[in-house]
Amino acid sequence: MEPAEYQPYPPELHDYVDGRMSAEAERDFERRLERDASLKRQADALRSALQLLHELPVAEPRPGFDERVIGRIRETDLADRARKQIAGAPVPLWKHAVQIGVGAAAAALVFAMIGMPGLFSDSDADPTSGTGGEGVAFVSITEDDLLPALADHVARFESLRRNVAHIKVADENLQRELVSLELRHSDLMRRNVWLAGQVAELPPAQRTGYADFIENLDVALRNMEGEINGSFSERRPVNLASVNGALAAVRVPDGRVGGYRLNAPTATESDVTRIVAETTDDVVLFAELRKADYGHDHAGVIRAADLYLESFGQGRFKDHVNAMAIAAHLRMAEPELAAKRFMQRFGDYDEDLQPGQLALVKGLMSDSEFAQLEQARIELRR
Amino acid sequence: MDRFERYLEKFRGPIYTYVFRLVRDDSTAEDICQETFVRLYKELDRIRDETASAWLYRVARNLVTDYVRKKKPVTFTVLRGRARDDDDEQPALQFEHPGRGPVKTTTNNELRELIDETLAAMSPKFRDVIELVDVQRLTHDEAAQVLECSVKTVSARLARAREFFTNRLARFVDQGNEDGEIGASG
Repeated sequence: MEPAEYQPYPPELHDYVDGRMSAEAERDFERRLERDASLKRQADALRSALQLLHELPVAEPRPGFDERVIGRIRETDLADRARKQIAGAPVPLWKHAVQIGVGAAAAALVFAMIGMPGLFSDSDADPTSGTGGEGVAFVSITEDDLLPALADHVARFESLRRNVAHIKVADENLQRELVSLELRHSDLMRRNVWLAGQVAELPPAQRTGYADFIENLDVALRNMEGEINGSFSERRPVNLASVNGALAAVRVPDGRVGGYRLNAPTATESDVTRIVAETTDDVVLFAELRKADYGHDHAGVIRAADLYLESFGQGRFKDHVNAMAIAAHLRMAEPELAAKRFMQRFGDYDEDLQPGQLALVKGLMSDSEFAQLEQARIELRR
Repeated sequence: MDRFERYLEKFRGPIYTYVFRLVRDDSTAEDICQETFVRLYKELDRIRDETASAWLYRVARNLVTDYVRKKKPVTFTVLRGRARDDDDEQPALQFEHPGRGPVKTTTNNELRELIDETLAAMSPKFRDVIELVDVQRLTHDEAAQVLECSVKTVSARLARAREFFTNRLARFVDQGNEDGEIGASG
């Protein structure tokens, strides 16, 4: 049958099969059906067709769907709370001296909280797992929720502690500038305030170790901030013995936080290149390297180190920059490259090194990282 | 039982099925379905029980639309025939061509495939309404809320979509227009 010959269904047929007619209209229509065989066939065909559609199976998502939804609700709830709390966090004193991207800091923290792909690559950080078995209407924070943020926090603290311990310059203004940039780029004060609020909501059994860490860190950071401000107003060097002593007294929580491997996508090459092109100040480029390190951007650390060495080959931070690039290679699981860099920049054997170089390299990484480096150096020499 | 859990229990399967039928990809369907329920959770205090179903389908459909707009459009066969539809022409949504659905194995796979092919051959605005009313069993009022159009428009589109469907499946249904093709092209 061609389209032109097609007999359309009367509109009321659909109302009839849907039961959308009044009782009186339905009786009238049924009388029409009895009289009109063609209409009756159309009604039967339509009913049969609808039956096929009604019987299409209902699919179910794969098992664990409810738990995954609840996990996602927890993530969004926590991220919302993080945004609110960061927005309400007190402004550190040194913000008045140096512009800080508050939005970027907030965004970075939210990423840390929700485990953005690429930032936290450990499979344990999968936000869709292990969140079942709890009520869905009430979202409370757990240790698991905080582990990525805590791991980020500990890594930032360790980086700050190690790098401040290796600030050794005679010029008091440069010394103050270097201590300030560590405090500023670590963003630890703001994050510590936020984490204190989150940790306070943990069950008591999970809270203690983290609370002690945050409280001690708060003391150390405030001491550091006080020293920076005091040295500026009193025109004296920062008392590094006091700063380092307070940082050394901070005990990092044991256990689960260490299970996270922190790795962030690298910044665009053009950003760092532009900074190099626009500056003749080695401190600016050194600060870029420190920012990359605090952001767990290990490839960015290496790139900034290479740019530093290209621009300021014999600059005053060259050993520090090389040591950081070596640590970055290790954190990217590239021990051979770390060892090659070490041997090219410092020498094949320990006796080739200048005084203080080995202590600097060792001081900027963990014991296990240093052991990896030593092993890689041995293998490379063979 | 918590209100959100009740909704999750009641609508998990239907919403997933609806979304899957539009995107034809397990992981995309799951992702959109999860996001739909997350949004429900956030808006729960503002949603009345009597409108929850339409709300969920509307959110899911909007998320599918966003997803599809980010992907390269595919062509579809335009439903034509009698010019009886009185609603305005709207920009058509370009849904994915169907592949194999999450349907159970039946003794009549050919029929199941023909049903899917027939629905996929419709212009999305007709397919939308038949999916919502005759597959998902929403009322005309609910479908109008989901599609943000009038009930009259729903009824008009539904009539055309059903006739197209019935005639395409003529050999499987007992009807008088066995030869009746109302103009599916391609």
